[in-house]
Amino acid sequence: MAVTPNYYETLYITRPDIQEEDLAKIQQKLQDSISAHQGEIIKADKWAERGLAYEIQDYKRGIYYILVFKALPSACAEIEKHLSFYNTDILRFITIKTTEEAVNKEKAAQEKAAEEAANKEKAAQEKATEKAEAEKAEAQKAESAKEPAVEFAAEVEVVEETPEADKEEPAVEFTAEVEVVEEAPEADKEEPAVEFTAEVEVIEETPEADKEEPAVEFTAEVEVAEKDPEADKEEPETPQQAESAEEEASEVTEEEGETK
Amino acid sequence: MDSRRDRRYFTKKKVCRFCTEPIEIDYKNVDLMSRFITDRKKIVPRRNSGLCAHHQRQLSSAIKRTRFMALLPYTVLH
Repeated sequence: MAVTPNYYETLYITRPDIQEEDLAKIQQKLQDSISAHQGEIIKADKWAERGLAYEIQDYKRGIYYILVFKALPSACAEIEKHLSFYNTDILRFITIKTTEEAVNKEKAAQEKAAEEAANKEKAAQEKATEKAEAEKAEAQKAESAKEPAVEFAAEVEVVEETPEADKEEPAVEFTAEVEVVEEAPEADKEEPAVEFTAEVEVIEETPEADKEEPAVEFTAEVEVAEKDPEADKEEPETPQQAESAEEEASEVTEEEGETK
Repeated sequence: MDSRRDRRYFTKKKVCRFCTEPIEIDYKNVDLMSRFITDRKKIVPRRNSGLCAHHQRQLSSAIKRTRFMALLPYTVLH
């Protein structure tokens, strides 16, 4: 009986700091061994770079490469030989026999995914332009309001994007701050201290501000400096509120427990 | 016997998911595989997963492949 070519799928993990030359050399060897056994490569891709579920040779991350090919069974053995020879660069590999249908299905799925991705990109671009316009408008608002108190309220609006912030935008600095304090315990129930929540918020605010608009970055930093003393001032007043918020939180948890 | 069992708890008869839905068991599909392991990273038994013998066998070998490729842990102790 004549030996017929089969479909195989090889997945191998390389160490994350592999040199490009080494990888190219290994991949070249794989290609050669496939073509030497009447084979053809259907797919040779980087599959993912991700953290490993457990350490392999003290590596916590790995780069996954996938190789789908059609070749004689003897090609399989040769590929595995090559992969196990470079066992310092290749952490793990697995070869699995697949069927033609599965390969074709995957191909069709890939094409579909590519189309969808293209459509999504278009939509994302449109959205991005819209967002940029909205951000511009907000930035203008923030600039027009020169008083530091109102500026702070505007900042809250940018980060949280709540309708409440919209309403209270012209309000005085004090009310805006109270709102922040009220919201914070809901976000992190575990941290009752008002000082601490204020810090957490600062940490959350700055990266978002960085991402969204470089113009606000500067103002955000200034506010960080301002905020802490303000929070300190209000401390004698706020603990009651914080307590009430805590009580509410505990009630909520109790209710949840009952419903469960 | 049966009536007694019915009185104790009402259970819907499970039908094998992979027989009814057009999902392929693929060891690279980590999200799917992770749905069939317990908190302690054991493979969910057939009485809980509700799979037929054929698919349970396929699934268990797929999960073992996934583990080998460090996509899923073998235990929680790693």
